[in-house]
Amino acid sequence: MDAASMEHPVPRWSRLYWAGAALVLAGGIVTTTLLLSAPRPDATLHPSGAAVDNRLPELLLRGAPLLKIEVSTLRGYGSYLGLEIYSGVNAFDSPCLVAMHRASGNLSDVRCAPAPADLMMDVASSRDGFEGFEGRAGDGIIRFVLRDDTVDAYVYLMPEAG
Amino acid sequence: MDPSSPRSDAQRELDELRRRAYGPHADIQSDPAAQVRLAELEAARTASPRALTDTDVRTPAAAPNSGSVAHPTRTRFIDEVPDPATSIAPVAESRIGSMWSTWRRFTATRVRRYSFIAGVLAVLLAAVFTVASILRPHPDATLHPIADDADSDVLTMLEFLSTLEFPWGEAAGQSSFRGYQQYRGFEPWFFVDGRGYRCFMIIDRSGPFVDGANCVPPGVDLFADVGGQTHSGDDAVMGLPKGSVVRFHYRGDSVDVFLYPASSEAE
Repeated sequence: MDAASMEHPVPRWSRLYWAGAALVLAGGIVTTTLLLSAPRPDATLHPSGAAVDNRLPELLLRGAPLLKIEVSTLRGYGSYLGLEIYSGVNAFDSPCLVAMHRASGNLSDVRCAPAPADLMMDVASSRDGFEGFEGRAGDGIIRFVLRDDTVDAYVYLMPEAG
Repeated sequence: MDPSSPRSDAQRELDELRRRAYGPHADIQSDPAAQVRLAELEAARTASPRALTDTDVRTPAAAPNSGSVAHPTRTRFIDEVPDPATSIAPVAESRIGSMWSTWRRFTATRVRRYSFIAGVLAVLLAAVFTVASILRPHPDATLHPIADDADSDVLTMLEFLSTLEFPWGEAAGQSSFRGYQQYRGFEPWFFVDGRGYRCFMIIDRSGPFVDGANCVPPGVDLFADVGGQTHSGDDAVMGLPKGSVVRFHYRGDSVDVFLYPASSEAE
């Protein structure tokens, strides 16, 4: 037996390092799995800073008067597949999402939900005023989800027949 | 050396060697014989905390002509109550020693090491999923299926929805109806429409009325909100303040209900 075979103290720390590395690896695997298992948005829309379409207040007043969205809180996120997306706050302090069909000038959908609900708005491609999403063949929906300062868009199309 | 207290001699020798090996002024690196002796004593101590070899009780000096290295040949078990004078190591040290011994048992062989790592990973995964399930929002109610056939109220509501300007829940080919338990008078209904969309709607039998209608392609998370939509009424929803939303989340074998009361009242 020589001094190199003595187990105090180096092997102890060596094994602890291995255990620590195994824990870090396991944590990394779990985190990666969770991140990969969450659906990834097809697009993330950021505030455009552009002025609100002047048709929108009137559309909201006629199309969704009961939601009481305050026009002064509206902010645009630009256009996605033919839909202009806005967020705002209503008289109940709930965040709201608005989709306006750009070509027809119709209000496609409006949703409000108090926190802590995820604010989700499903817009179908076959709704009044338009035939499918611009630049995207097929029938389906776009799910818009309001995040802190952005809007995530998820496109779900029907599988092709045959 | 006092033969009446052999253990204290061994302990003292071990402590002295430990001080020379791990103490603030360690000098054992320059003394190979002392290193070997320390390794022997440590090995004997680790092998069995209550067993000491004869070399533990007799210093090499007690074995003339044996050189500086003693050869342990027999093991003698000591069953005495520890002498306070010989229990020099503090309690904390003995606990560390015990933990170290357990650790070495778990990692003594390659198979044990892999088993130990697999066990640690399993425990960690279980902990992560437990925490995730605790942090995940829990439904205010879970509703179970009660019907597989659409009754007249359901068909009337579907007919009404089909008159809207978009092909919601296209009537031709509707199938797979499934009704769930009521929640505060609201009854969720699921079906597959003629285009293959999976649809969900909430029926209030008191009217009847329909709310929260939503259709999505297969494989998409399906939910229906009552309140919070363009056609939502100005009435309070299910006894909640105006502006509140009740979300019905389709899970297949059940429907989860989440209440989201409005955070403030509009004037």
